[in-house]
Order: sequence, then C-alpha cells, then structure tokens
Amino acid sequence: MIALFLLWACATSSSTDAEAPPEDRGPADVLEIPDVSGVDFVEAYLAAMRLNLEVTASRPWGGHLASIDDVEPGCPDLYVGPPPNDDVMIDDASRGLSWYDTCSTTAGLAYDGFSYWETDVSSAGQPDTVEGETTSATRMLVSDAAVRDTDTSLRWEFDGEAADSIYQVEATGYSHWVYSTLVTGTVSGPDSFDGSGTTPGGYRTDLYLYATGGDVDELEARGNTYLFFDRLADRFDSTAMDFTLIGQRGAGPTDCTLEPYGWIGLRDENAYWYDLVFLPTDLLDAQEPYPNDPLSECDGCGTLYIRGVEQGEICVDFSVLFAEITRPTVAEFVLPLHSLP
Amino acid sequence: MHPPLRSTPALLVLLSCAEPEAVAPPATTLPTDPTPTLPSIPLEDTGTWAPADTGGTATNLDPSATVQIIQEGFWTLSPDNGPYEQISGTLRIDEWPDGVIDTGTDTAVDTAEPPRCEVTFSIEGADQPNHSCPDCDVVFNITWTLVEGDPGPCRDPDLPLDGAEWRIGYVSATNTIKFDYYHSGVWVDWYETEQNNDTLHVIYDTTKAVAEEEDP
Repeated sequence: MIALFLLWACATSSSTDAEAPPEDRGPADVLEIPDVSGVDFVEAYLAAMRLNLEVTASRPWGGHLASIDDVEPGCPDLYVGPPPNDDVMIDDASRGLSWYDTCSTTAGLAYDGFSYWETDVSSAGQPDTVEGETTSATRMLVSDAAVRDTDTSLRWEFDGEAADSIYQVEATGYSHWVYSTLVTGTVSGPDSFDGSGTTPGGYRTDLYLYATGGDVDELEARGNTYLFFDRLADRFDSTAMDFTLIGQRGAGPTDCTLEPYGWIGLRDENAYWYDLVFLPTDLLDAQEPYPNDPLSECDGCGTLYIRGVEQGEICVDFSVLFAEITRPTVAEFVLPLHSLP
Repeated sequence: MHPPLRSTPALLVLLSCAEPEAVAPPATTLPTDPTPTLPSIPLEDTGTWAPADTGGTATNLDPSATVQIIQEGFWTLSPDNGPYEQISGTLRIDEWPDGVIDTGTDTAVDTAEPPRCEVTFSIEGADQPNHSCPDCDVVFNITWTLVEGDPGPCRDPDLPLDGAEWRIGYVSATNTIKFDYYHSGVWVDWYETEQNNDTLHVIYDTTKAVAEEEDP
C-alpha cells in the first residue's frame, strides 16, 4: 500500500516525460556495438567449445583424488557414509564415502569442509566376441571443500556437485560409447587443473555435456561457464550454450551434419554478449517445417548477434571436435573403501 | 530469520521520484580536519587479495562416532603345494561401533552396543588361467554364499552380495588378494594375506568415522 501511494505521488509530481505521448519521446538510444576488428570469431567459437569439452566431472574429481592421496590418520577424518553436516542434503542410507574435517596434516596441508562421493562400476562379457563386452561406470561428488598448502595457497577447491557416467560396448567389429557429465559449482586450484588445459584458473559452471562415439557421433552441451581468470581470445570471460551437433557417423537422412542446432554465447568483460545462433535451434524444431530461410539452411553458418544486434554470418566447422572428445577410463571411476588409507 | 526487506521498494520509488534540482549542490570548500585519518601507507588494490585461511590453524575436528570394520577368514588352496586350481573358505565380517572389540569372554567389557553387522560368507572358486592381472600368482573366479547373518546393516559399500561372482588374484610378493573390480579389469588391493602352507589367512581391518544417526 505504501509503495502504491508513493507511486501515485511520484506520478502526480514528476516531470513531463511520463506524460509525453510516445511519439514525442524521440528515437531510442542506439546500442553501442564494441569494436570487434581484432576478433577471429571462428577460432573464438571453436575455442569456446574446446574449453567446455574440458568442463567435466574429471576436473573436480582429480582434485578430490589428490586430497585423498594426502590423507593422514585423522586428517581429514574419513567417513563410511555421508558426513555429519546438516548442510549436506544426502540421505543417511546413502552408500558412499566421505571426508569431513577442519584440520592440518603434519606436512602442513589444511583441509576444510567435506567431500562425499559414490561410484558404481560394472562390466560383463568379452570384447573379442560378437556379443562383446559391456561396461558402465558412474561417479558422483558433492563437496564444499578447500585444501590449502603450507603457504595458504590453494591446492583445490570445489563447492558444488559433479557427476558423470560412461557406457561402452566393445565387440568384434563394433564399438559404441556414451559419456555424460554435469558439473554445478565452482572448481579451482592446481590439483584440479595442474596448470593444464584451457581453464587453469578455474571456473563456475552448470554445464551438462553428452557425447557419443564409436558407431554414432553426437555432441550436446548446455549451460554456462564463467572463467575466474582465463580469457577466451583475450576477451571473453563467459560462455553459454545450448548446442547439439550430429556427426556424419550415424546421422539420419534428415539430420544436418554441417552445423549444430542451437546457439553459443560469448560474454566479454563489459558483459556484452556475442551470440552465434544456428537455426533451427533444436532437433524438435528441425522436425517441423521451418519458415525462416535462409537462416535455417543447413550450410554450416550461423548468425552473429552482438548485444542482440544482427552482425552477419559466421561459418564454423565444429565437426573437428568429434576427434577431440576425451572420456575418463573405467579405472578413474574406482575409489572404494578398501583403497582408502 | 531476518525480516523481509519490504522497505527497499519504497526507497527505490522515492529515489526515482527525486527531482534533480532537489539535490544539494556540492560544497565548494572542504572542512579542515586537524587530525588526518588517512593511513600513512597508501591503500593499493592489487586484485590478489584472498580471505585469510583459517583451516590450518583451526582445531582438528574429531568424529563423534567411529566403526571398526573387520573382514577375516581362512581360505584353502588346492591341490596341496600347487599349482593351485581351487580355492574355498569362509569370510567373517564384523563391524564394531566405536572400536569395541569382542574379547571372546562374556564380561562387562562386552556389554557395549552390539555390532550392527555380523555376517559370514563362504567362497568357492576355480582358477582362471586367462586374466589381466599383471602381478598375480593365480587368479580365481569365486562365488560368494551368505552363510549367516544379515548384511543389511553393514557399512562397507562393496560387501559381496549373496551369489555374487568375483574374480580375485593372489599376489604372494606383496601378500595381497586383489579384486578385479566388478570385472572392470581394474585390479584393486582388497585383503592382506598370510600364507601358511596351502592356507591363506585373509584380513581387512579399518576404522572409519561415521555420522551418528539421529533419533527418529
């Protein structure tokens, strides 16, 4: 009620702008389009995709493994089951393992927080047979954890949830694999990145990745990644995307393999977005007549929008990514109680 | 719980209503303060500041509860003196809350909380010549059979299921039983062993913390 009164009072005593008819207000301000003369957008969008191919559960898991390697008796305390932390939304009956502590080791490593993990691995069959060998593995990590070195420099920090899974079939003359991963949280520290990759400084993300290989090539990526320190093309600090790319292997007769469905967004440090949009934007749209030629043509080209203003076409061959997709080995999913110190 | 910030919208409305001319003009002269408050060291934003780490100095948290998990058994290899083709035996699994150890005598020492997990399995297996274990002297495909007890309360996530088929290997050089982790080809050290003639004494003994269960 008070706010309504204030709005009324404001309206009755305000300047004449609010009373002026729309036609007298003049044209809207023209959006300033930043100078992009030095930007190779083809390379920038490819780099964005390569960066996000590394945003997998393997990054926080690698730091987690390092934190386990440095465990001493009692620091951190290792738990069978979930940690005794009311902030952790994990069922008491969960069959995972965890560490939970605020402590320092004799070597000076400082642990603070918790990590809870679950893994599951199964395999059956023989790969050198027609029936083949089928292997599946999953792992899940929930953490609010930091490990620091003696000089308080950060070794590893993960606050969030990460999960991934692989499913693969190897048989005589046949290969098929599926890898999916979802990371929601912040990841940083050399134990996760080891100074390698395109994002050694860490990131905050909610990215979902799904990739298949062997008999069928497909790549999906959906979500956001914000880089703490690294910059794409010395300019962009964030990516956002809803991206589906069908490879030539296993493509259907109506699938477009020259370009993805969806869009990729890059954000510069002024928070201006540069969106590359491929029409139709998803597979469901693609199954319907799409009256938006020539934008919806399957030609490998998308339309670039900067701050929402159309800038022309950018043509990118994303099919090179299929050869660059990596997935963890089954061994990386194995961290049972019997392996803990 | 904090009260809702209901006054914020009203403040925003008031701010948006303010006439430009109502703003007081800036003062042309600054008041003289005889006692400067600025520090003598200029403040510089290096962009590298990080919150102080207290993790290294904080008191080590102690778990409020622990459980000792003991898995122990005797497995017989045959034929005598090898080369071994068969393996059989039992494995008893005991989980003791807070490290209480059953002394075997009925004394007051044993009156603590009873173990939540007391299970006995038997194993039977035959050798598997074709395997991927790089260090194993011999590899067996074994079948677990639940003989006694309820595995439900047991906390080890990798406790065998009744009827489960595992592939294990014996490494005499390191006195270990390795487990081909659910047929994945990843060989994991699983039990320590002591060999006495054709008998293996296998044991896994660990104490880990547990979160205390809340009363319903």
